[in-house]
Amino acid sequence: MLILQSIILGIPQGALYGLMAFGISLIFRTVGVMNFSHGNAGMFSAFIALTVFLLTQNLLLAILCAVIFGILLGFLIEKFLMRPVKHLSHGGMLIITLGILMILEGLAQIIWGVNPFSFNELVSGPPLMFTLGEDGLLILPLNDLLITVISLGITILLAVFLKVTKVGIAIRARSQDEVGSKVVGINTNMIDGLVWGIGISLSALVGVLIAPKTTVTPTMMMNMQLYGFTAGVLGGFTSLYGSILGGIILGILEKIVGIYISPDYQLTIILLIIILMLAFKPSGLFAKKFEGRV
Amino acid sequence: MNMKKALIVLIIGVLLGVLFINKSFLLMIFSLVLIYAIAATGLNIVSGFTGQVSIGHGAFMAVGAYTTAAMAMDFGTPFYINILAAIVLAAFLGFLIGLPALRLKGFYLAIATMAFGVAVEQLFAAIEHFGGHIGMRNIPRFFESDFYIYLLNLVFFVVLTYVASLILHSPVGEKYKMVRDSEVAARAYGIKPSRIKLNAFIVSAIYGGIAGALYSHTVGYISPPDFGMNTSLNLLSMIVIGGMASLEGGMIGSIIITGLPFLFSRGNIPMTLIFGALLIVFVLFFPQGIAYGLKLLSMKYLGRPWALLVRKSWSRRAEDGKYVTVNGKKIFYRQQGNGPAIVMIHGNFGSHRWYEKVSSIEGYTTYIPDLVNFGKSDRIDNVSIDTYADFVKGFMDQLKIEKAVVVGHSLGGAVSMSLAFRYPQLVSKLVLVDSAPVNGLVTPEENFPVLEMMKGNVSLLRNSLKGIMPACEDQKILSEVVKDALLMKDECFSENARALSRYDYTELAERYKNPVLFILGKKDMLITHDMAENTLKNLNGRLEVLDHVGHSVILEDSQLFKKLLINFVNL
Repeated sequence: MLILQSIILGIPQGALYGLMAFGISLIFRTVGVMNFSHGNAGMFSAFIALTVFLLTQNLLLAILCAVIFGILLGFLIEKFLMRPVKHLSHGGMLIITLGILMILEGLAQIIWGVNPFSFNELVSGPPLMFTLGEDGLLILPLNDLLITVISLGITILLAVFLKVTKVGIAIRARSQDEVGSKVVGINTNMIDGLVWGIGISLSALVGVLIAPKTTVTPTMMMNMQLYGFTAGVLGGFTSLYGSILGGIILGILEKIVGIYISPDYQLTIILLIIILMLAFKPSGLFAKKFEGRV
Repeated sequence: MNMKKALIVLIIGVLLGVLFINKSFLLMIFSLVLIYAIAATGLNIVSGFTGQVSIGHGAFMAVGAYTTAAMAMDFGTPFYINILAAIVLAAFLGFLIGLPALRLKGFYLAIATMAFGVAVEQLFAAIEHFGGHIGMRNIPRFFESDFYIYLLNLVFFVVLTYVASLILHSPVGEKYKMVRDSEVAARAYGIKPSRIKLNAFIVSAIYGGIAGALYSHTVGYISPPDFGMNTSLNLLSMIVIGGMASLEGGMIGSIIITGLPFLFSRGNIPMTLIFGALLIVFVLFFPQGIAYGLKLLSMKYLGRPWALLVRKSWSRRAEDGKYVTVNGKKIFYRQQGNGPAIVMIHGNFGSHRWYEKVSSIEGYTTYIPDLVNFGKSDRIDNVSIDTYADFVKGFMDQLKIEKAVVVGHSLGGAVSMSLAFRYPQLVSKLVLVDSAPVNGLVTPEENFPVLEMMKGNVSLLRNSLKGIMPACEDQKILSEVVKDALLMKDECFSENARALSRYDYTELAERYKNPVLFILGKKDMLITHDMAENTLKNLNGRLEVLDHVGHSVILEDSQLFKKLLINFVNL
């Protein structure tokens, strides 16, 4: 019974991890950078949403603003920070994303301080209950259900976008072969900017969705980013949909560890998974083959 | 860093400590700077020298700190035992995190190390015995006095930096760099990159562990966030700002990253903002870091006053020789002996002194001028080989030398070729000593900044001159020709090299029918065998290759040169 409950509670959480991983691996696959500022970019967007919400009391508008801000932030990062070193050094790009991580955290501290802000849930209402058997009672909060639906919906939407639209095909072409895509007339700088925009707006969305649970603080997304990486590692960064599945597995695992072992060890055990996965099967569970992109 | 430098650093450190002996707050900061410098040096070994970016290095410090603290508090064991345990544990952990590193590159490794760093932090926070999130307090400090604590840290820092330099200059250290630069090439040389990376991880983990152990007994209390993600990122910032792959980088970065917060402590600006901005600015604009900038600065400017002084005093010195005026310019020369004339022309960065040991040739008069723009001769504006040759012709005309054997070394070889090919009647025989080839000698563009730098840096100049006379053991003559080289006209440091690329006498050479001897040192780094053969192609000449000397047989084996010269002129 407990295990079913933890699965049900794990899925919404895992869907968010998956969404996080989706953004990270979209950027990684296309531009070739592991974005270590992903979480904090989402955190900053969540603060934007909070500010808009406090001003207008309109949650939908706030979320929309956060997502748009995420797209803008992604564009700016690509244009001014990533482009100069794009072909020079992977180490340099990595360190720059770490720099962005620190800067965003510092900026958030200056602007909004370190005290946590509470954030409204999307929907509030009595949780859904299911009774199974005699003493079985499963609980699914309404907000969690909505989060799952939104996450999966966005994923499917993006999948379709990448599969059928012209821009989506251009993105996939860019991720496969930069020179080749230039030859056929794709503006790769534009595509890179767009991918950064989409990736970070996903993180912004995650930030807004998780905010009711974590409250809005400058460090709210630190663990989220780690989970995003873990999900990506589980699913394999080379496969976009693997990361969603990886995220959901991770979410369930986390709840199981939390219930059966101890919440204190949740993060440690999850992180061990990363290291073990990377050591023994770096391609991830769902990727076909390890391309070893550096 | 050699023993001497290490001692100098130690002495400076002690003096600094004595200077602030009453300011325990400052001494504490100094201690922290040293501790983080140790950890950063460790990180630099794995990230800077081996090229494996790690963002979980705080974890090694955590292990070191918690091990010594727990052992000291639970068992009361002395520090030297505790630190051994800390080293062993840190090394083991380094081994563990190095294992995935065997298969991972770049970003994957970064993720793994980040996860590792956070995992260790969380683990310590979860263990009740270690005080959980609050951490451990009242850890016994090394000494009561902050000064002694500082001294202990200083000794650790100096010794560890010295050891690091030993490691980095050992074969293993070279392998680190090979793996960083190209794993494929390293493998081709029979190196196992995975083993080397693991090695680097363990070494750097040990540095982290020691730094952590020092931290816990210096500060007296530890908590998991002290060694968390922020610390790891700070360590990375230190080596990026200070200088990747530079031993001084860790220390410089540590001064900035550890010291800066105390400067800004009154303001409300979070340090992460400043560090992040610094990190990005450095990666984008100064990727080599401060250490490199300082090195460049000191090479360019620090030696300048000294070079100027040497030059001034050396140019005042009276030389034993005569002057003759050619086209209104005074030319300094030395003359020795009686009989037919031999004119000896020195090379770039040269002077008459290069021929000092071979100036007495029995049965001949030797004329050894300083070329215009060199040594004690006057300066001219038009720097070209032909102009130099014209001045040599004028010099011969003034001294009524109608025919002479001309010896030319290096740039002087080009000058004497120009002279011989354009005025064949003046030159009865031509001796080219490691001469610039007949079709010009091109200096790679990237060498020019270094040539420029030699103007203001005596030791650089000395080293490069030493490099072109590998077999020369006479230190006295070396230091004299170095001073002579400084007398050269300022612009000529690079202009001469450019002039050498601007001529081509291949066709002119056919006009010269007299015998030519080309002497080439096998260890010559400037003139190749092909160049020498190419030079002799259209000449009536012979090539003499000497196995044991480099570019400057005149100074390296004067007696042999003299013998070859006498044989040739008497032929």
